[in-house]
Amino acid sequence: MPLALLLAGLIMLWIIILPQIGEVNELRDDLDLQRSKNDELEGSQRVLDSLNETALDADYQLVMRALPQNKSISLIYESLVNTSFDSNVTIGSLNLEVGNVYSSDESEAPRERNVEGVPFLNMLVRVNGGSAKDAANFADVLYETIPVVEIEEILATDTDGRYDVDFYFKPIDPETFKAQTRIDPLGSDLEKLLVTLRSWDE
Amino acid sequence: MKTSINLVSKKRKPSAFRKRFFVVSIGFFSAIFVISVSLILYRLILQNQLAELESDEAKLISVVNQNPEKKVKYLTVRERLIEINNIMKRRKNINARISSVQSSLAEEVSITLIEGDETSVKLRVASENLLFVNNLLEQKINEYAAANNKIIKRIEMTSFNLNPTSLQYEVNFIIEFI
Repeated sequence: MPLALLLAGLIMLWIIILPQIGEVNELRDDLDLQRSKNDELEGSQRVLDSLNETALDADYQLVMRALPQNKSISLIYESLVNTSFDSNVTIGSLNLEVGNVYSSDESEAPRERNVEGVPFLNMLVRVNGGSAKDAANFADVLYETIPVVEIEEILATDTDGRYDVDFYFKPIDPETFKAQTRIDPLGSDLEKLLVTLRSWDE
Repeated sequence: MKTSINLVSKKRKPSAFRKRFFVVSIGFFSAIFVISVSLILYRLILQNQLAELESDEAKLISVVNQNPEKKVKYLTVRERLIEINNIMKRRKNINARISSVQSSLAEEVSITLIEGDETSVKLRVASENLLFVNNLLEQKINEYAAANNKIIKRIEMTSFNLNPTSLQYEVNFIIEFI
């Protein structure tokens, strides 16, 4: 009888306790994961609830102009003209990079230049008038307008200025966001950037 | 006829070891039984909690997706801001360098040419007054270099001449950055 009990105890240890310990540990991990998923979803819900639709619409329009979806020539021209008004010069000429626009042959298809995955349109901008200081000031003003640009080279003289400018754009596919459920708040850096962009847009 | 009675049973008395073994076996089995039942119950509780959390997750997902347009708009704004932030962090501050050079050096002389790229700024300054040019070369450039010695590699005067048309002294120099 005692031997049978001991044997039964050992069998129970082997077929019940040991597998149960494994399953319980797995379940506890699953629970932790599920809790963090739910916390994340609750966070997402809080972020969405805190949004004001009118302000969101305005911010959406703003960022889509700051980093357009495509090479928006009209937006670029508008930005350059406004910049020239603010810096006391006039736009002389705009030169776009010359090359293929379309080719059915993939090897000849135009390749977009990009910096870390963000494509850009390179343009040579010439301005007239003012002084070398005004012409240099044009670059300062251009750096604080939208769309967001990067100036590669500046040449400013008493009579004119020449700027090698990259205008950034990035196509977007809203489908990629449809299934996303993790919605993080903007955070202080992006909030500050949004305030800066709003001030540039005034 | 037997004259004596044996009162001692012939059955042997269980030894102390056997008794202890019996008690230990009972104790072991009982402990295993209690632990097994507790584990099974604990597992059932955890399974139940997990099922509740999974059901909560489904509800939360449907709440988050209640207004897909708002969600996509917000995520687009966030994604664009991240990209813009990256661009602004890595973009070359040629204009800032030029502004700094201008404000430091062009108090008494006029700047007639500025050329800047990622590594250098070329500058041509002009003045009718040789004292101002001298002050620029002797003092202003040194002050500017001292104030910006962490970013400046070299400053070189490339030419000095008197422009016969404008009758101004012209100095060309190049500032190379680290």
